Amino acid sequence: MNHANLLTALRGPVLLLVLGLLFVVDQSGGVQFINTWPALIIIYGVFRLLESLAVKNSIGPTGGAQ
Amino acid sequence: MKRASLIAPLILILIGVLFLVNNIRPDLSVWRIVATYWPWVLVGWGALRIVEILYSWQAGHLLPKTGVNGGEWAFIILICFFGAGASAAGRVTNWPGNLRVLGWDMMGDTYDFPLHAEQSADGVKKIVLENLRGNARLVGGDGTMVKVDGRSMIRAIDRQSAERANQQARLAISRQGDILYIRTSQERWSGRERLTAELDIAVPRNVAIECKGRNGDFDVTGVTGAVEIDSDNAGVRLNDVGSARIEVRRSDVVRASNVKGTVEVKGRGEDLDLENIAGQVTVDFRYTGDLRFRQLAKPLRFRSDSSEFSMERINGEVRMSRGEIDGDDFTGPAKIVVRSQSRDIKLNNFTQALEIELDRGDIELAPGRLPLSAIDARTRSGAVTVSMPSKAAFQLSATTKRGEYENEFGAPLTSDLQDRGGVIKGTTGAGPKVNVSTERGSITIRRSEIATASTAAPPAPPEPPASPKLPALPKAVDQ
Amino acid sequence: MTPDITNSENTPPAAVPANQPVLGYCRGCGTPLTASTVRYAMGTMYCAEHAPVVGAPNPDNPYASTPPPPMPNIARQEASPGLAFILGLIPGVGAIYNAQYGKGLLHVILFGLLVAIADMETGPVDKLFGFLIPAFIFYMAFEAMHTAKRRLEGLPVDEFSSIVALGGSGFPVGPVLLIAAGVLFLLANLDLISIRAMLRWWPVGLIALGGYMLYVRTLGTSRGEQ
Repeated sequence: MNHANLLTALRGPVLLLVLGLLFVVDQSGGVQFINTWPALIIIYGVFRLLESLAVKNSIGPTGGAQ
Repeated sequence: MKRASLIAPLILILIGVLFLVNNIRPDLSVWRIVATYWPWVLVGWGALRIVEILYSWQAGHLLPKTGVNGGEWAFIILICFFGAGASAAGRVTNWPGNLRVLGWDMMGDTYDFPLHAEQSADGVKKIVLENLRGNARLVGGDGTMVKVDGRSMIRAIDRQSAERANQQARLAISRQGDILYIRTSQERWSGRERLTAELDIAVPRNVAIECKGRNGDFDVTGVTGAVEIDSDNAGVRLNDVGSARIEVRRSDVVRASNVKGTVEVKGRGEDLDLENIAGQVTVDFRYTGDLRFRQLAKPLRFRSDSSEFSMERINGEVRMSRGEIDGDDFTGPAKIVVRSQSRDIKLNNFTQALEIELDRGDIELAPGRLPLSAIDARTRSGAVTVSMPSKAAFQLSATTKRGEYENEFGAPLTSDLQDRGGVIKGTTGAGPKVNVSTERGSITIRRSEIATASTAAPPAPPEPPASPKLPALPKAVDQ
Repeated sequence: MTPDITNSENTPPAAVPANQPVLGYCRGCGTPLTASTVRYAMGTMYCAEHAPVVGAPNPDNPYASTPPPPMPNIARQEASPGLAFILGLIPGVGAIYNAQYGKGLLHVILFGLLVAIADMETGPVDKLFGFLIPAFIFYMAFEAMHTAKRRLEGLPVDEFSSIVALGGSGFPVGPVLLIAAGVLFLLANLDLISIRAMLRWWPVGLIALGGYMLYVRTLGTSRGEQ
């Protein structure tokens, strides 16, 4: 199963969910969004990383069993 | 078989429910709830999409290329802007109950009811106005009556509920000792309608005024007593009053002119304008617009989130915006401190000691009058330009740690390279010390020619000749 | 954006040959694939039916070049390179014109960052950022124009066309950079590090870039033609 597709599809909604949570934290007096936004970049990067790893795992005759 | 996302219809239903609840029960502050909890919409949206995609994957359907497409992101960004804006506004003010779109009431209808009340204010020393929501104007005049005219605007779903609300929440003037209370009773109304009042009040001249409000402007004119304003969100305009004490959590403009006593301003707002104040002025105000101080006879103490300054007297005008401070014709000892924010300072025509401490910004000084007094101006990053009067006596030292230096004044000031900057110094005579410095920026010393008029007070105007005896005028009739 | 070359809705999945391990699933129809039925194209698995026509890597002669995959048949899109150039002068709008919304947003953010950094005082680097701004504006304009040209000719255009094509060595440079940037900004926002102090060491970035390029190129020469 090509996990890369799943990861790509999940990336957007996960970012959206985290965005919402960052604003929830901002609203309830915790760390302000203007400080926490880089978390979104980090998560985006993590997803891209996982996707490229997933693609690598499924390339080649012997790879990608799962 | 792939099903389109459930998100769109859910959001539509949510919006519909919100508007519906706001219409049916105007007392529930639906918009306040929206302003606080809107981020959960994003969280729910994301979670639902995740579930849909996982379900799709697990059932073997084709996955979408992007879980959230471009158009949806645009909408999300829009939500974030409005949500963040709404919650920022909601934190400061009492969220307005009715939504005004271009002035048109979107929910319910507003019904107008006239208001009128009057009562004698003989012997009253203080009038207290408790107007929850709405604008009020108080004018001091002759006579001993207090007259209230105006209208009550009630937002309700039908005329009947509006009338019921109007019956219960009446305008009332009551007296306790020497204090007169004017109440609109909006807070007593526990029903489902929203009440706002517009009041025009005539009061006797020799009283003190106290106004308390949530949301609405206060306008007071012609009162010799102390005026006290306390509001969550008000534009304040005072003219010709005895003294003023203003505390606002939010405001678009605070203006006080022709005040015979002290002025105290506290809180947060946009613009502040004080003119012709005879007493001491104390300001502790966070502002986002412009400040203007003109003709303040007594000391001014100002404090804001990143700046503070004090002056003994302002004969001319001192203006402050978020980017610069402009002062013309004032008297020290004066001290200006601006931390972290960047502000350019331009001061001319001042006397007595001056002290400036800046983190970032240019300093331009032109002390216009003799004799000079000590000046100590420092900025960490910015250009410093000082125009020294050619005939003055002073001891100057101007340094820059990194930048250019220019001695346009000439002898007896000399300039020298120092570190990566330079220093201009010299003594023209036995006079006060003038020290200016910048850590990064240029320094320029200019020469200015001014008439050596002394700074002594102008001679008192000659006594007017005794006026000839006039026949007695008839006694003025009360208006 | 590359469209899917599939029509999975209509094709029923083929039966799985018995006793052979399933390596994966066809990208086009979802059929389970074994070593005998799998076909590779552009790094993705397909079944025999759905694989685009491509020369499979020849196990006997790894050095034989494979013919390039055929260009997917996209209809020529309406795009005016001239208009794209003009719109591209406005941050983000050029990319939006080419329907690359993600890139548009990225452009806006980058532009904003440039202006913000140019406003900070970081020493002599001020002038560098001052020049970067007009350079970036022209980059956006030309990039939009070229993308529009490609769309006009019916060539595929992906979302972030031509933004930093690093990672040739197989190392996911892009994501790692992103994560690093995100961590840096987060730490700076929480006042644990100071970006202003760090920006003083900007030449290190140049040195690192040079070192990385050295590394990639020496690797290339030692491994021979790929």
